[in-house]
Amino acid sequence: MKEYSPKVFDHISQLPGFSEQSVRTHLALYQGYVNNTNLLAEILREWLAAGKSGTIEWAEMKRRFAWEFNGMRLHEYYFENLTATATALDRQSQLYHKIEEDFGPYELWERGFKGTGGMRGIGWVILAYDVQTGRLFNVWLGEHDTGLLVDTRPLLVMDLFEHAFLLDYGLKRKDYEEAFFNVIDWGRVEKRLAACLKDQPIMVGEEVAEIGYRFHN
Amino acid sequence: MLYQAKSFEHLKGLRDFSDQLLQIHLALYRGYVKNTNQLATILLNKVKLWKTGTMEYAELKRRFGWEVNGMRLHELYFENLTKRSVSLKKQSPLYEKLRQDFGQFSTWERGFMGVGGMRGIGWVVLTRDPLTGRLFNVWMDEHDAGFLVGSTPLLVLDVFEHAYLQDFGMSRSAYVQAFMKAINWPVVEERFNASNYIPGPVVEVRRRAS
Repeated sequence: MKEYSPKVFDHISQLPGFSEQSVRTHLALYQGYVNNTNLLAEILREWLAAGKSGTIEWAEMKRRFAWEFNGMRLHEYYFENLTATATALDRQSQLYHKIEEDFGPYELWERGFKGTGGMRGIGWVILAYDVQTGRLFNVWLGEHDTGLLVDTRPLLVMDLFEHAFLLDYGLKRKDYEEAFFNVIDWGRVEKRLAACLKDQPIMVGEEVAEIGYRFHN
Repeated sequence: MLYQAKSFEHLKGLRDFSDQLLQIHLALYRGYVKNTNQLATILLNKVKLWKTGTMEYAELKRRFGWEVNGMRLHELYFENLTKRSVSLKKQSPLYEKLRQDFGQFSTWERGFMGVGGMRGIGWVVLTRDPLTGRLFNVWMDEHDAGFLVGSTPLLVLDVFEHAYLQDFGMSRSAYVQAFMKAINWPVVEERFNASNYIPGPVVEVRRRAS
């Protein structure tokens, strides 16, 4: 049984500032994470059933699971907070107020988020919501499975692995970040914050794909 | 300046690799050299100013290994590539050692390429443990992770996405194969021959301790 199905992200096939080739490559890469999450989950279950959970192989595959899973999930959040028809963040919105409350002027938050994206090395930048305090943080993930703040929820996700920008922007990472900011689906980010404030999980793939597994099932 | 960027322009026209990819890769490499120099300067200044107790100093210090290795690994990688690659001579000491440690040359090769196929970004390094002389194919998850302490890198394969994405897309195995066909074996042999020594210091320390 396949637990996870790759979700369809047709809405980003024509994304301003992103070539079709780059998006196609990115989606293929994402599907690899879905496949491998399923594969690894299956292997781990089988090995467990076979009484092999005490082996070094099992242990290291277990360690790897978060990497595959997060590689899948982070890409879903990322693709889903992109849109071909972006509009600026509404200054009257809850999200805008929340950002100003936690970071001071909005521009300061944006500078911080982009600055985190300018860090050397590959990774992810996440605007994360701390469930315990309601506080927002710009967080750097040095890998899929490192750096995420425990008990926080991702509101906005930016991919800074080389595959995300190399084909279209070469080494001009700043240009990629500008392009990213031009295609943020702020409505989506607002919905995620609203879900957090109502203590609901942030769903992925609800509207963009009819098929696919939902994690609350 | 502590380090100067080396020139690898001679690699232009490398078989199966576009010059465009090489240009980006070399520019990236120069970034590591620049940042290594910059970071070394900043760190030293912080020591001079008695700022070693700060968070900035601690985290910049942590970062230093990443920049230096990003520089050095790229140098080793570019150096072990050539446009005129010939296969490793079966009479060479390196070939004999690979056969000795891995069973057959093809087994070593399969293992090395297999590590190159591991999911995620990183480096594959054929490295030699000086204490035993043993060769290992090692996976490095990042510039500063997974390297065997004290070992001597003989052959380095870059499997960060910038190393292949533009020319090979997602066909990483095609890239690894192209790499294997472009290895500068004489350079690897030289590194191997230079690593062929009996270790001194570690044994001496042990003797003193007993």
